[in-house]
Amino acid sequence: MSKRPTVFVVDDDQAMRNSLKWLIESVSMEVETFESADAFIGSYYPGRSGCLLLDVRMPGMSGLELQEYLQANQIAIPVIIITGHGDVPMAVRAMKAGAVDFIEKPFNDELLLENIRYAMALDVKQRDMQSQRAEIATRLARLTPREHEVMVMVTNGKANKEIATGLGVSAKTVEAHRARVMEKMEAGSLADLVRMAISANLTLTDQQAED
Amino acid sequence: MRRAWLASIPLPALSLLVGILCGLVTWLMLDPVQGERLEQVFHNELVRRLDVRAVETRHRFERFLQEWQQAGHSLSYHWQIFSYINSPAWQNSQGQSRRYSGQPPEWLEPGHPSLGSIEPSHIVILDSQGDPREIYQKQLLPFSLDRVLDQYTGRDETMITLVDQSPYLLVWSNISVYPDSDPAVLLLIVAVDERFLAESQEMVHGTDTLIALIDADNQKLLVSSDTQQVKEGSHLQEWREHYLLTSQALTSYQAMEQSLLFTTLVSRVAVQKTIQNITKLAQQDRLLAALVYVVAFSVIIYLISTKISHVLQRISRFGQQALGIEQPVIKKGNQLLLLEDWVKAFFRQLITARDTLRDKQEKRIRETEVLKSALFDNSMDSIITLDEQGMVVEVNGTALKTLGYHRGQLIGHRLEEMAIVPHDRDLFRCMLGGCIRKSASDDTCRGQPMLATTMHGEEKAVECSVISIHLQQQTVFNVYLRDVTGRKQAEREITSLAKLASENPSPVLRINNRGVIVYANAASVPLMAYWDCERGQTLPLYWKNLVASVLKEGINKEYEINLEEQIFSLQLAPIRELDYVNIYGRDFTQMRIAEMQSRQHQSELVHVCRLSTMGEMSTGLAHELNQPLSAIINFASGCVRRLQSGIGGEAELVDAMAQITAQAERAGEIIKRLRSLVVKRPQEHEVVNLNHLVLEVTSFIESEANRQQVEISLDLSEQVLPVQVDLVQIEQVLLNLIRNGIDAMKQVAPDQRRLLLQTRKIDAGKVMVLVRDTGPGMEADTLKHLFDAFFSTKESGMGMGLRISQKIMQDHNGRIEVISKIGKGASFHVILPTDPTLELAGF
Repeated sequence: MSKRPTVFVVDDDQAMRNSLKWLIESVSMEVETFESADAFIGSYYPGRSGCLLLDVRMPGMSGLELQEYLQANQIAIPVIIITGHGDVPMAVRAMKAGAVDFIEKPFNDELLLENIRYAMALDVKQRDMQSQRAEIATRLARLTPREHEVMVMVTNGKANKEIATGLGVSAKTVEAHRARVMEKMEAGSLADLVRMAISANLTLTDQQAED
Repeated sequence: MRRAWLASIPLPALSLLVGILCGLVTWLMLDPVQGERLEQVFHNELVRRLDVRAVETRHRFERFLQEWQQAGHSLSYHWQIFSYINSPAWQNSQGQSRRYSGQPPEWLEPGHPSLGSIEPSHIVILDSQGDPREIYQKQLLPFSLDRVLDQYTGRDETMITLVDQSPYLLVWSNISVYPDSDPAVLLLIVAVDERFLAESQEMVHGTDTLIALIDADNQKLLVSSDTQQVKEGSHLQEWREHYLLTSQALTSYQAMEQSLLFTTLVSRVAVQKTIQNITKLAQQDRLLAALVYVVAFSVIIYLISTKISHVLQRISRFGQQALGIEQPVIKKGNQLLLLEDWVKAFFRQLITARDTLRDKQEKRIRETEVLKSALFDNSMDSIITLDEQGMVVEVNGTALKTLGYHRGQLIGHRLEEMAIVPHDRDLFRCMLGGCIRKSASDDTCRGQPMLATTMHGEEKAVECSVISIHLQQQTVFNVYLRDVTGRKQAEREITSLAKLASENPSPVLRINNRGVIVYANAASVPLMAYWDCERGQTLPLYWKNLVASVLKEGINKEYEINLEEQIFSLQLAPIRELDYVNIYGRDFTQMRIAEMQSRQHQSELVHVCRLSTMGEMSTGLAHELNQPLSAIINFASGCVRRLQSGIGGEAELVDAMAQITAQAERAGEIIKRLRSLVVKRPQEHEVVNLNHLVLEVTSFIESEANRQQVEISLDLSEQVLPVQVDLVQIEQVLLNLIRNGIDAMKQVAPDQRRLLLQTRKIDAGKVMVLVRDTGPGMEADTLKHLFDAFFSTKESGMGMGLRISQKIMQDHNGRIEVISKIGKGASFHVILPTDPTLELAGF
């Protein structure tokens, strides 16, 4: 968090590492290089922002394996895959595993930098979303079970009266609950509340429960 | 637990203990009763004895009194005689009495009368009127003399009278002096006191017996023989505690007014002491007797038990040794208890042993029966048991199988009628008869060849043997029929098999343990020629030793022997039980030549394979080249950007440029390495059959074709197609074409993938190989560029294969032609020049 967004380059070929560092630094970005997946895992901590430039073919842990490792450990750093000639099937696998893009060697510098910029932006967005989601989760935790129920029903588009019959209470009580929910969730409007519910996956889980 | 404790005490100790205990108990039980009874008896006896003693004492007392009377009489006579001589002075004088005191009268001899130490206190002579005339007194009476005189009855009498509670003995004795003179009376007065009584008993008894006189009226003691112990005047009752009393009347005093009683007192203490003494003595005796009994009893038991334990140990040892029982030898403790245990265990063992033995025996009998019946049933011979009449009694399985009958069909029938051909029946009967008479020699009953008929009328050659078995009641025959048809067949087979070795085209020899050739077939001649020996001769030393070592180890071994023209592999197979070694030779001259050629060819193929993997290598090459190229691009782009934006120092840029150079050199290295892989070697042209060449190539590609599910069909010319080519290069061309075909057919369904290889002679100067696939075919456009360098339709292709192939064909004065249409596959024609004059080399 404290450091600037960084492009992490993982490639076993020193020339490739150096040249990539040279190229990316020419557009004033931070670059850190690693000669293997293990070296990267050893020094990276999830808080660091940036993107990962990953060679598919590497001795030891391959690029795909590193990708799987990151997923398994819920490290959401955007990954750009660099493939050699004829590594298309691998690239497809990488894309399926959630890579931002794949670039075939030898590559256009503009294309690479474009991809890096995009990945950086994605990272920022993801981090935003994540912190937002955490915030919503803390707010949700403040709700009483009854308020939670009311919020679910409201965000599912039910009217106060429906909610009252559903819960077996008076409409006035529902009104009171609803006001408290808005207050606790710090929602300015119903639309705000719905957005929060969606980002917290509330509506979906509740619909499943109703089924 | 208690039993074990009991068992640990040795029997002698136990018997001793029991003996002592029994003695003690008996003692404790009997002793009080015995003592009591004894005491009772003694008491009774004492009482009786007391009575006797009382009688004795009284008797003695009375005799004493009588003695006094006698003394009175004798004194009266004495006085009479005296008065006869000297008439008494008082004879004529009236009423005058003379008293003597101190000085005895003349008629009284000194010392008379007295009994023992007792003397009368007064001697009085009375006249006929009863007046006292002479009185001699030793001492003064405490009372008036008159008080006793009036007791005179006129008779001689001895009496005891009481005067003032004191007893006195009065002895009256009449004196008749002369017939005419007046009678006179002598009176003796004796004080009955302690001394008197004692004297009366003559001091016979000790202090334990006293006598006393008692006033019967008031039961008071008047006088006793020992006043110190028994006070006078005391009441009789006081003494009952300490003395046993008997009181009886004195016979001569019955008429007396005063009733006096004579009493004997025996000290109770003394009696008690006596009784106690006696009882104690008896008790001691009993104790002694009991002890003697206990000791004797214990000793006897001890001796017996020692003996028993000896016997037991012997039995136990015997048991251990004789029966092998693992029962401990009885050593210590209570042998009887141990014996009980041991005997129990012994019997158990005995029963177990008996059961085991019986089981074993039964099992053995059963097994024997099973074995016998198995022996009987599974005998190789047919065994048929006949009774004396020649009827079948029993028949085994082999007989049923051989003759084809069921059991029921044979039993109870005559064997010869059922199973012997008519011609041989007489012989069979003869054998039976001879067998029973025993006159015939063994030979006639054994192994007679004859013909048996089966149920289906088939005739079989058998050897018939008969033996008779004499049972208790009857004689039976066992008939053995040995089927010899098989044996005859086998004999033939053996004869023919014996020829197997001699017919073998490879050398077969048999060497005995001394290294001598026992047998050698015709094919062994070259070998024996090489060894320079013949049948019956010894092998050369080297081979002799080999044979010996193989025989010793018992393992087959193979050796190679190189003759001038032939190479043999010799397998030495030891037959240890018969002590010889079989040698099987194999001529593998041809095989060895082929092997050598094949090895030679293989080295060439390595190169071909290297070439054939060009396609695969190109992928790797691309990757390898990509690395430096990408790096170069990156460095270059970085430089450009820095220069454009004006950042980056000169040194930095120079460094990047140097990197670019380094990477470019790296790429050059890679290409150099690649070229070294494809070294062009000098062409070696040789003449080969094109058909063989195609077959060879097919064998290389077969496994890959299978992997790709491609079916390769061959259509080779029946003619020999000799071509003079560089084998490796042409193989490479064909391989390349076949690979292309297989690759192309990946795009069609597996069951459509077929590859045809065809060889044909086109004309006198040309032969060709056709490679046709069922792939998707090619467009005309593609066909146009097919032989251009770096043209490839394949993902990983380099576009060099066909180019190289065409070049090779040109070098051989041949060419490649292609015919293809979309959807119709592709046909490649490899056309090579030929010449009928060419002669094929070894291959």
